[in-house]
Amino acid sequence: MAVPLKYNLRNLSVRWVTSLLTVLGISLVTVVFVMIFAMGLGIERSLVGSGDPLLMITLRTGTTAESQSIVTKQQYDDLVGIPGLLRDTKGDLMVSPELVVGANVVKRDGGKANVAIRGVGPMGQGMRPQFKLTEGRWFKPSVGELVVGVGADRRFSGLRIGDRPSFRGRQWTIVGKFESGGQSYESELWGDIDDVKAQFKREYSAVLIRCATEAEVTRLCNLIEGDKQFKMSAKPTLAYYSEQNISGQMIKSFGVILAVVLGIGAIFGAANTMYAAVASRTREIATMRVLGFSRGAIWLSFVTEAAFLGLIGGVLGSMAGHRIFNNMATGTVNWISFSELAFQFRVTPGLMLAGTILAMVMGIVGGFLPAFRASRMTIARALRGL
Amino acid sequence: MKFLPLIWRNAVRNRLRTILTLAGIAFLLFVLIFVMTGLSEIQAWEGVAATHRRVVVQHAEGLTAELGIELENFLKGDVISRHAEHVCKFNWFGGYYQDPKNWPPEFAVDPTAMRALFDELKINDEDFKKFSETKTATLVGIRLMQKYNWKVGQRITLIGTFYNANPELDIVGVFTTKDPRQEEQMFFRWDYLDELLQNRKIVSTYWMKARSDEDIPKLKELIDAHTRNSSTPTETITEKEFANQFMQMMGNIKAIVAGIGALVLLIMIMMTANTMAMAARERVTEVAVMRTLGFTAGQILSVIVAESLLVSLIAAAVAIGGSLLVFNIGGFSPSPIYFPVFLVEPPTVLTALGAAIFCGVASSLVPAVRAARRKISDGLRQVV
Repeated sequence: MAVPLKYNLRNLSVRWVTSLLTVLGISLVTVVFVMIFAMGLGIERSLVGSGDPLLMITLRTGTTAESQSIVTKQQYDDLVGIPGLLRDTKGDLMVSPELVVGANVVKRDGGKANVAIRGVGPMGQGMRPQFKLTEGRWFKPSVGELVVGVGADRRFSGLRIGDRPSFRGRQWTIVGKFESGGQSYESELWGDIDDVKAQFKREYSAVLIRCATEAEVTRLCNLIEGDKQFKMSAKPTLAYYSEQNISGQMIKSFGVILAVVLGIGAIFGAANTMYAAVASRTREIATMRVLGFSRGAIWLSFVTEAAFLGLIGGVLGSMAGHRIFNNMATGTVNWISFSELAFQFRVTPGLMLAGTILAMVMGIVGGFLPAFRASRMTIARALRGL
Repeated sequence: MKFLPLIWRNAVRNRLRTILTLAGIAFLLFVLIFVMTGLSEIQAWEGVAATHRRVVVQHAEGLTAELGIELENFLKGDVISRHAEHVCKFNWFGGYYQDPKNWPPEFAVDPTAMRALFDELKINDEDFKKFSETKTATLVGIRLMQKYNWKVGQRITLIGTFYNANPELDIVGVFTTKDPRQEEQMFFRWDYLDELLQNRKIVSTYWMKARSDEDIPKLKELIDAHTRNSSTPTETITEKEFANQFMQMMGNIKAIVAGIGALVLLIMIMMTANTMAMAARERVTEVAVMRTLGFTAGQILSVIVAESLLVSLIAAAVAIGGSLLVFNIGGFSPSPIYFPVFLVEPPTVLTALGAAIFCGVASSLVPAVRAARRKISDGLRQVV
């Protein structure tokens, strides 16, 4: 027969100071865990989420980022010449030659960072379904107009509609603001491709092509990579952006190390509390044994109690983490593109669950040995003990 | 001091509890040292940079923009004669060796100026002679040599990512220096890079050395005023400011590290407070007896605080020793690409020690004050 759960809950509340300190300790460990992973998930979301399974990107062979790639007009013409490319309802090719450059801009929270400036072809917005103008209007070609992503607007100063920032010896005008479902495009400034190309004196850096199906994306990628004439590499944007998620991965690996070491620390704390709980209930335990509860039942009872400590700490910590960090907007550098990446901390239900489970594991592992001590007590000695 | 045996006996009375507390604090302190070392590594360059009076000329719009070769004449003429010594073209190359994961800091430079500017690098004359005579020569830091098992005389190929060029380089010599991070770098020749880039004369930065600290603001003013209305306006900054740019780009790392550190400290205090509360509770009668024997409230208080302090300090010794063993001696790095070097520095050790002392005192103060203030009669009456 199992010891009633109520017994453990009552005990936790009787020794409330000790229980509370342990629960708070475990919940703070959970907060740290949730915070670090929320950051990793936020970066991942804005980068990996930038990929579109139907959108592919072609770059110079050997480069990993648009900002490092050079595509000539000739190469662009070769690509556009591929028969059977997708067209929109008006009959225009779903292809956009693009150029990504950067410029240092002062951030709202002080310091400077590189904002990515992307010149796009006329199809640039149309072939990205998540794209939405939220304020103002689109840029006109060749008059130095730009639209700003909501993320860039949040992170940088002087990039509001009507502002006139100066890049490479020309004053540009911000005429609109756009959203794109949390993608990294939101960290950029967008303008007309010919305009940006002329002012920054660069070639194209990439050509984006939209396809009707994923199979078509694969076919085109293989075609371009296989044909030496193109001298280009091609991949789905999904893969392209996943490869840029270095910061996200690094933060996650830091997070794992932190969670493990902090967790071990917390386990010692929980063990301490449970040993004290066992020691102070020596006579109670003996009495329960006399009443007929088995060693196994006693063991389970104490482990359950410890699991409860962890569970309460985990739930508290996850909720606090959600409350404090969810959607917190910040930014960091994308080392591959060398430009600012605006992102928001993401405390997902999955992350909260993981945090809670982690906390319960801390409790259970911490309660393991103390529960053994409780179950192994000799009845006679325990009853005699004061 | 005469209470030391008493404090020690108290601490080891419940051996299991003390060991668990000690281990818990040690692990938490280890985390503190770990995150702080991450921060100190990111900031390490700024520390080194502050000591050399080196000044960097970059495009006003940052490192993604390039400077022209015209500027070199101006810098070598006017600027040198008045405020500076040496001008060195300096391009970060950003290529990888064999695998994109092998991505050491590689710089294309002018040999003579580079040697004069980076005089903290120990390069022997013979190696340097080869470096200045051979266009494809490269000088490599000792740690980088060991990392890839390179030998002097070997020919290596770097695959360009940022530049469309794959230089084939002959290792002509090895340099050493005080800062291990610099020994992870390599230098090759700017004129060779330029040749591979069809003589497009791309200069990403010019590095100079100011004659004195007073010359630094004058240098900045002189150069930036000269280029203000040109097609490539410049921003002249010290090496420290140059290093700080990268910190700024990374965002609020300091706040994140400080936040984690504060939370870890709080967890430590709760754990120790728990232990000390248990210890004090068990000893109520005993404290009352000691008071009747003539121990003052102050003495009782300090004995309890000292016990907690002792446990925290032993834990700190374990954590500091452990982290030195793992990182400084074992050479473990959480991310070898971004942290080729990951060393616990003395300030970090001091902070950990401070955190341990703070934790020891803060966690025991409440139980200690309560124990010292309790009326003797109440203490004696209580049955534990």
